[in-house]
Amino acid sequence: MNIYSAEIYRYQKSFYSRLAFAITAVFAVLVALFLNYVSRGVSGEFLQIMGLPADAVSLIKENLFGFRYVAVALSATAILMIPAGFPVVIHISSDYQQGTIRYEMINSRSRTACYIARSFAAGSFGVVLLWEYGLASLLVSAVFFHGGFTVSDLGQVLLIMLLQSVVVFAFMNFLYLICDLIRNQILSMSVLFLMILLFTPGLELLLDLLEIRNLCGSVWIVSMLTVLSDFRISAGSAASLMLAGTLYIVISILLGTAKFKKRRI
Amino acid sequence: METIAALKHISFGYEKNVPILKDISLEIKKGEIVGLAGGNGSGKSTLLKIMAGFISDYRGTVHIAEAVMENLACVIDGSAVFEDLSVGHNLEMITKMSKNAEGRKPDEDLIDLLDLRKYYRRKASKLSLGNQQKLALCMALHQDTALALLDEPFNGLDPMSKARLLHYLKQRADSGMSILMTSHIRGDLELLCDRLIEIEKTGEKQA
Ligand SMILES: Nc1ncnc2c1ncn2[C@@H]1O[C@H](COP(=O)(O)OP(=O)(O)OP(=O)(O)O)[C@@H](O)[C@H]1O
Ligand SMILES: [Mg+2]
Repeated sequence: MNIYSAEIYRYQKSFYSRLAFAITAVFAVLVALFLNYVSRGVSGEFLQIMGLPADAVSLIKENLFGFRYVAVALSATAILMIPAGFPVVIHISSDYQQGTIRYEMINSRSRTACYIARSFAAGSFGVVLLWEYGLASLLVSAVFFHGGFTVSDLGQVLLIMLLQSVVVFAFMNFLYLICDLIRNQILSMSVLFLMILLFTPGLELLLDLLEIRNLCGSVWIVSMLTVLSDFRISAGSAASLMLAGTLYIVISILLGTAKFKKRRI
Repeated sequence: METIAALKHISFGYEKNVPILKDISLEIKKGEIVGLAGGNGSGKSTLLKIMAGFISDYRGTVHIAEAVMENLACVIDGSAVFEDLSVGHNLEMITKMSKNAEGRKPDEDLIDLLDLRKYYRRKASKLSLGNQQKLALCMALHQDTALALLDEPFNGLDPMSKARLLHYLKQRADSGMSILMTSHIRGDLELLCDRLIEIEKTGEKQA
């Protein structure tokens, strides 16, 4: 618990995580400008050609107000994971390079406890950024896309936030594992970008060509973040997201602690 | 005198067939200052890492009581500071990490002695080399430290700060803290240490 709270303190005070908080707020505004433009200036047919599902198009063209705006904005969470991953990459690599990992180890009960505390702190940081983004989007919605704040929509948005929290937490634990294995700042940063940008429309096209898109969507953690753009989530898909997220967390922790236990520091 | 740390027949090499440490045994008593001497690459830092538990695949036994391990201080292989935090936040971070609930504070006397207080708001990465070393010392050493593993503690310190640190370490040892330290300056070791241990260069890979 001591290492976890110290790491949380670090995420509050460090320059790069403060930068990530600022970028998140700016990002929420940029998404609003983009969605505003798309909903008014681009035709529905064009959006469908671009590969958006039909219900997402109707959501954007007809229902972009109130809590529904927040739900649409949350479909961009995958990109938010770049600023969220930034401080994690930098903290881990500089801990190994500088030797600050040793303070954390000396003060931990065991290496396993040390790894889990640090990994969970990274996960919590991602979730806090997600909620900052959600609240910023709500604010934007209240100012620019007002009207239509209904209670039933609120329930859906909260459910999306909850599911995304689980997936974001899992993503950050997975990222932590990768960075802890690599330990090199530039390489980890490149991997972070690849993990996320590989799933931009261009590559999704490739997945379509290879007919593996559905497969990828259901196993790849970054895709899970965008799956939620669908406003009506079925109980089945909610459960499967929870399950997949938990599996990612468990596997990341198991692999990470196994490696960390044997590492010479 | 109470034994704080006992190492028996420690052997270790990072790679197979390239032994770094060969059958090292040593004992450190309470309040004793022991110096480690040896050329570059002889394995002084490696030995400290083994004692602190950072390397676990060695042969031989290390015996250090749990209570001592909980209050271990170590500065090994350069000055470790959280680069993107300010000096004050670095010290706060260490306090938060401490295992005892009431929070183990860095030693305020040492902070004053090394004149670090005026840099509290400065980012650690922007400190000079010597000041980074001072910060690392303040982060490692705290009031309850029972055993301190110090690798080149005087690295980068100006003569004035060095003299103060020497005096401080002597005082702490008198009140019961044990110290194992390395230095390339013989004079420093002879001045400060009760005992000197020489580590011989055993093996180094031939190019
Ligand atoms: N992580 C590592 N992997 C492989 N070899 C290493 C590693 N760290 C150190 N070594 C090797 O182990 C040997 C001992 O290194 P160590 O750092 O313990 O020496 P030292 O006595 O502290 O030297 P110095 O006086 O220069 O600080 C060196 O030959 C070094 O190259
Ligand atoms: Mg050394």
